[in-house]
Amino acid sequence: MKKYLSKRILSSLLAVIGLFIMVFFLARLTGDPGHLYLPIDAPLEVRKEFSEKHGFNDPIYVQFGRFVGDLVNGDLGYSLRKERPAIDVVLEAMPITLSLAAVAMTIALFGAIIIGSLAAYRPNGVFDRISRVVSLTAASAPDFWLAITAILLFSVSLRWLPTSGMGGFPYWIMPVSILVIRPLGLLVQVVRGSMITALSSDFVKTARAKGVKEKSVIFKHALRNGLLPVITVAGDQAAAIANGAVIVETIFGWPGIGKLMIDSILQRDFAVVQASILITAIVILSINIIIDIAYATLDPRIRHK
Amino acid sequence: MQKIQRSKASSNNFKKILSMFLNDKLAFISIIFLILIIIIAVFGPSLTSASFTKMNLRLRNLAPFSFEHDIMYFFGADALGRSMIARLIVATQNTMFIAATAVFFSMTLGGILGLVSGYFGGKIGNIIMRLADIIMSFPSLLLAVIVLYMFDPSLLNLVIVLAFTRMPIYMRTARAEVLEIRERLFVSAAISMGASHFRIIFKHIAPLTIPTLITIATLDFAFVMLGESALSFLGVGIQPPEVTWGLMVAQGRNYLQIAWWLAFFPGLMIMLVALSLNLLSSWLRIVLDPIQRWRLEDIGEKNE
Repeated sequence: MKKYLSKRILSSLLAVIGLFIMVFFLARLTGDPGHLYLPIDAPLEVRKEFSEKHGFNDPIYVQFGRFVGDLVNGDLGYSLRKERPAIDVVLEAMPITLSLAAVAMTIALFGAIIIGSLAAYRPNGVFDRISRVVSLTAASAPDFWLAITAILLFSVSLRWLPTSGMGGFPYWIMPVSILVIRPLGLLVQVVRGSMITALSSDFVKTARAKGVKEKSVIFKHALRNGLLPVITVAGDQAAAIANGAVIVETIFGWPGIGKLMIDSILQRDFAVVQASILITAIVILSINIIIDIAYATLDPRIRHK
Repeated sequence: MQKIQRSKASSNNFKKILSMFLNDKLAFISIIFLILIIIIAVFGPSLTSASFTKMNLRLRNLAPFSFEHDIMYFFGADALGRSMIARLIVATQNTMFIAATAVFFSMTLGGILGLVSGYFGGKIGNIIMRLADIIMSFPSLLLAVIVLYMFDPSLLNLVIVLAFTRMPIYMRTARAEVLEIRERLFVSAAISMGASHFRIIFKHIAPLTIPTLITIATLDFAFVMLGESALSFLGVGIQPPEVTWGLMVAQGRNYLQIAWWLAFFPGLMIMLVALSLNLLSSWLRIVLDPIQRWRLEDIGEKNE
């Protein structure tokens, strides 16, 4: 177990390093990095001075060495737009996205477990058929379209909810709901599938033959085993939720990491883009490692290895 | 004799699949809808391309469902008085073309990489799979936005980015399949007869992985389409005057309060196509899974 975990952490670290090398070279591939860092209408002298100051004229390996050195010191560059260290800007936005994602993921996970288990209890029953169509529809809906349709309906026409911004409970309803919908649709399918497998397995038959109560068969015997594949898929959904957060934050004007990244990209604040990539990758990989640990603790077959 | 038997068996199989298909009404409706979309995508623009950029300023933001004007204006008109129907049709072609090309490339490249990684294993295999991990561990949308920002958001770059970010799924699946197929007898037979690696991979192993890869591709098509429309919505996808459904939603967003149909219809198209693909692939999965197939076969026998 320990060996497996340390291997997992090492490979995640390699993934972060790989991603970062990729970003470093991508930025240089486009030619003059000043092109990425500076506003489009920056005059030539400013560009020259900028290149000189940041050493973009040095050979690429010198630049890379300096880049790594800065990275080790925790220096991820300076945000031209906010005139602050890029890392501060990113760390300020991160908790907003994390809380949004955590709320959405919790709701999606619990909703999927309840709906998926009910659907799996009678495969091809009425509930199963309805939940199949509804969950597939949810998984197919473009989130940006749902978001603006929801704004039109609930904020503009009905005036029930605020159109955008961060604040108390009413401000959370629409962004969280939009963020929940697609993962919920996908997870219901996964829960249903693995619960059908679990319910038709030998240990469930044995439990029933022993005369175990139906409730306990479902929640104690089937669900615990059925949840294992769900946890793995939930890990993949961490990246998907981040995708959704970009859209939701942009449309609802939440100052999270997704909006920060899009704004920085559109306003050519490349240091912030780089810092966001690194921090986001670290967060997502850590979540995946935590999920791996949860996976192992839930499954005694892995735990005792 | 043997030949006749075999053809009989295959026609029986075909009948079985057809009846399984007719039994799942939703899958049946989805395939009809998808065929319709493909026909529109292929032939539609040549019939309507003239009116897709034609402006009629008198019909600016014309509301849908009115019979007063030409049939082309049945779904209303946009802010420049261009027919929604014509624009939706041209967008269908663009959206489908981008998604299809991207899916094709990611399936081919991802499949080959997965095959190679599974067949040779060892260091090469590990490096390839770590590559898949890196791509998967990062939100594909952000990756695409960054790349499309650094390079121009042209059609080609859009397809490359979409194909690249979806590759890991094919890599993982192909690899998992190969690891199992590699151990089978016919592969050992091919090796003992001195077949080259290339021949074993592409002639003996690859054909067996194709059905699985195609099932994934059906589902992935919906993902890629949603990805493309999100990118176009964010402004780094396809650029005007070209048009896709996602871009139409983005353009309609500014007129949300006065002309809801501009954003609503293209979004609805995205959802319906994605839903049809999802229904189709969930049907395909049941058909290809012998443990679950009886559910569809059973109903078929009852109906006969």
